[in-house]
Amino acid sequence: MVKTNKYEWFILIGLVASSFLFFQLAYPYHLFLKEQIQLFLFTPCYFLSYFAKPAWLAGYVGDFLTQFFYLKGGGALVLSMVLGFEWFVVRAVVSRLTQSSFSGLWALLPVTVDWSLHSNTLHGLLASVGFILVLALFLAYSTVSNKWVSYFTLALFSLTGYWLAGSSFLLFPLIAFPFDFHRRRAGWLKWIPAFVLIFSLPFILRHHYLLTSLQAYIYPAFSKKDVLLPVVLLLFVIVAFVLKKTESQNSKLVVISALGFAGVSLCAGIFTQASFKFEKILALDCETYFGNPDKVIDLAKKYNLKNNQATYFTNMALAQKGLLPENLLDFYQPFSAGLILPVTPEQNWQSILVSNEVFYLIGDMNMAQHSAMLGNTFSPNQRSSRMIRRLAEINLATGDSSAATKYLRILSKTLFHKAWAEKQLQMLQSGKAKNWLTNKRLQIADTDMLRKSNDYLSSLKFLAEQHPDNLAAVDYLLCYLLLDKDLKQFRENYDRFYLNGNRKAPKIYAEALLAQLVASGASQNEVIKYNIDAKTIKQFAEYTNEYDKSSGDINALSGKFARTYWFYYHFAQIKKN
Amino acid sequence: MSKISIFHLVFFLGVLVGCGGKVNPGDVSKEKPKLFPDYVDVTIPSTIAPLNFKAQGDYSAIDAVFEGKAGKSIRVQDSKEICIPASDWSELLEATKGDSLKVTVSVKQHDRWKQYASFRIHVSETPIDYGLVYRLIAPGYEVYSKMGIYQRNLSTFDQSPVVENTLIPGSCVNCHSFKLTDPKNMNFHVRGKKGGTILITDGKMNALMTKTDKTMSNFVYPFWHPSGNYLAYSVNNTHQVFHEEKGKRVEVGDVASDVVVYDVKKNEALGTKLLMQDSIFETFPSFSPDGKSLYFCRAAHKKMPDKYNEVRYNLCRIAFNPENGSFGDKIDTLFNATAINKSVTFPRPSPDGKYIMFTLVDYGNFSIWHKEADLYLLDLKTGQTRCIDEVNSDNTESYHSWSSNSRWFVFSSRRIDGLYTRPFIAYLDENGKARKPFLLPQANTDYYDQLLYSFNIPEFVSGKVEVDPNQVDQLLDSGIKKVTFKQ
Repeated sequence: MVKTNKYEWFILIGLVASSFLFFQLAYPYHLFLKEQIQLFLFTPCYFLSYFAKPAWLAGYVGDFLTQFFYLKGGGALVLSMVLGFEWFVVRAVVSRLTQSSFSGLWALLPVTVDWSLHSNTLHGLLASVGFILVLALFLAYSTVSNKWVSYFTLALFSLTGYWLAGSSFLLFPLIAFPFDFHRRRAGWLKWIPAFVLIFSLPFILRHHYLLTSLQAYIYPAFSKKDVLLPVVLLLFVIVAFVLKKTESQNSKLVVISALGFAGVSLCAGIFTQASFKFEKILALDCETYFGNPDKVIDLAKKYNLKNNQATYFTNMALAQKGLLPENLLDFYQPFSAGLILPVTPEQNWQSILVSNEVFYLIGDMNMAQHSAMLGNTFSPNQRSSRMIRRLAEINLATGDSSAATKYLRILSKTLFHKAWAEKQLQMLQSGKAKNWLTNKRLQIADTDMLRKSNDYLSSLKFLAEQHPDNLAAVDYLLCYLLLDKDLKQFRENYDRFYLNGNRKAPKIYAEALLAQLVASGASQNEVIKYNIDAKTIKQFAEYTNEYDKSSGDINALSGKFARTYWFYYHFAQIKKN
Repeated sequence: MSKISIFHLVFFLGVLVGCGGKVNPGDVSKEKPKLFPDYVDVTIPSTIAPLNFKAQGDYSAIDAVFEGKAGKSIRVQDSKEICIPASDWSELLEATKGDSLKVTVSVKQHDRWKQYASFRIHVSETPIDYGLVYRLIAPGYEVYSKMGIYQRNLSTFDQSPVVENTLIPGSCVNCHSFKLTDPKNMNFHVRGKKGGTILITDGKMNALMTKTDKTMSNFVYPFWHPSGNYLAYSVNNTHQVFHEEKGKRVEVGDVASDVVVYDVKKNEALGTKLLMQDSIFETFPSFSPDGKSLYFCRAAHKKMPDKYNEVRYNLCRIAFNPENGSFGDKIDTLFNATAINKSVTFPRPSPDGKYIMFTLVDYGNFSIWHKEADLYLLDLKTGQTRCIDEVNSDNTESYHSWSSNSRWFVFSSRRIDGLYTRPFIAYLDENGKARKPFLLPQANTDYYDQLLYSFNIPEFVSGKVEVDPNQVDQLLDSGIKKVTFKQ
């Protein structure tokens, strides 16, 4: 290895510190999601499953490290350390190939590309590990001085590189050949077979690994853009090589150029790859998963996103706090689409992944199970710790102990879900349900009904009928009707579940009731029955006056009444994107 | 380095002390051990892969002695599970063919060995086919992500894919079937953007577009005619609904369904009014081994999904003339399930023509999610039907298929965890009595615990299946043949 000088230590520390700060402060929830969509088990079976595809070593090590993303700060720490190590190895490779005094600076370029690629949910650590592994193989190869040992090493690496590191290994001949050429040991008999073998192996093995040709040449990456990493490395190795002769005369220029390129590359990469809006949605999602509804509500207020998923998590948090009808219109409401996310082939995998949350919340366990199974199946590697945990919870709630045990046993083979799983297994064995489970079981229907997967209304009505004290289901039903502007059904169901339950009408219900009562020509006695507070009645009178006076002008009403149901009823429209 | 060596030495000694050495049981139980998988007193073919197992409960070591004929025996000891060396196992079974193995299991608990009562594993002389082909699919009911059809050599633990849908992105592969167990004559469907029925006859592959103007859907449930010249298919207009009750999950039923026969040589679907009645649901066709009868399930039409639990199928038969592809003019009822308020699914005649095995449920045809689903056997000689209590459990037993010699059958069951179907194999003796089934053995005893896929449609095959996924892709792209219809 090349000795690291003190300036390079600054680069390394700067890189690790800045990437840590970026991922910890600006992008932590993406990293949580990356852990949630994998399931790392400490079992032989699980280890052997990596041999079904290329890049088993990169995959296993990458996924091993990804499990630490579960910890707060763990993701940023692991990722910044990996990027630091990657820089260290890239620097050694650049130095070995170019003997440039500025290898440490040139090495920043590919690492910043990898950094920005990590902003994407589907760019896993295994891609970085594969890249590092290939560079390490090159460094090992470059230390071989004996001609026959180099032949043997090249043959060995050519045969096993794809198996160990995946498509990153295609980089190996592109750096090892020039190295050999420079050292005058690049015989054609040595390198033509190596090139042919290395570049044809993915094609030859694609059927064995059940990959399409494209998948075989980019595996383990999901997207073609991950090829950028080796391309940038090659590009800057060439640049470093070309500038080598003049770098001592223009050292300042080289430093500024390399740092400039790295900065621009990082900014451009983050600008094109990172989605800070999605990070906010994931913040709402993850805080829901962590069981922090107060934080979800606070974040939702802060972000003020106009997005179906953002509304979906916000509504769930409000329902958990019993505030859904009170605060519903304080947030963007895309009709009922912000209450329940559809589970259809048209949805993306992340939307399917989180779609079970609301069914679980309201006690529709069969649909929660269906969605969670699909969430697991549609997650990128079909094994999601979050979905397995949810499936365990669902089966604990339904009393299906053998199915619950299956999922809990799986989780007990993990590092970070083990404690929770073992606690639940102990609970199962003792037969004494904890509070959360007792409460969850109270929501579950005792009788049966058949419903189509997208017939949410029937399901909500059924759940409310089964357990009128299941306030989350009742509020979801009433809000569903209100958001779809079905006031007649709203009033019928309100009468049934709120009025008869002697519950006081929350803000939005009172507003909707007033509108419905007036529209249906209800008598004063009928209105009194609903015990609507005088302030709401007065405000309704003001609204109708203003509405009439302005002939329904949205601008005249939006200032004072924007968060009333009357305003929503008159003016809310679905925008088609 | 020295630290590593000392650590390894200590670990090695620990293993020796912990689970090695002679078993001197301080406690001999009269009970047989509770194992996973449950291989106590099962009947197996002599070519089956090692029956690796673990005991239930906590222990620090487990010991098993397998004693066969001619003084041959194997002893295995481990801290966790019994993994039997394959070559020793194979020799032991070969030597014990027609007899039984005596298995003695001991476990070490709190530094004390406990020996269970010995049990038997009966090694049948009757051979079994080369392997199984099944689909592995997450029980996600309606949409698909990753799934595939796989084959498993029964003598080893080798599983390899026949086709995976990752090769045809966004697709679903289903309903594989073989002419008896012949791997060179196979059918499966590819659904999705690039859809079609893949038909391999004597190793030659074709892709078919099977929806015709006169049929309501693509071909669905297949069954090969013994001659290989025809395949019977159902055509179904299917819908799916979900239960709200916690004990049930999903219902799949037909709004309408018919049965047709596909003439391979003429690329023509043959229909008859008797099998395409609007007032009747017809489904699950299968040919008799002589090829002259077509069995199928038949139910009176009900409004769906409102009356989903009133749909009940009987097992019926219609004559079929393989010479000209014509049908008989009457339908016989072989098993009147509606008379006992039950419903028949998956009728599968044994290749020797003696029996029809089917699944019986309370209603409908989606037996895979019916907890009460059990296997039944109709003796075609006596006309008697009986529940195969020897193999049924209190959970679902559903899809089943016969070995080529009719003495083994494989079926899917949810008995392990109630959620994921697993393949069980059972022996049927000459008197039609089944023996205790065994779960398809796996190298690792945690395999089923950790697998998040169900085994769907297990079918025996007599050799390795070869499907070129490239050719499937190419045929679906540009070589698809449209099937015509003739009544």
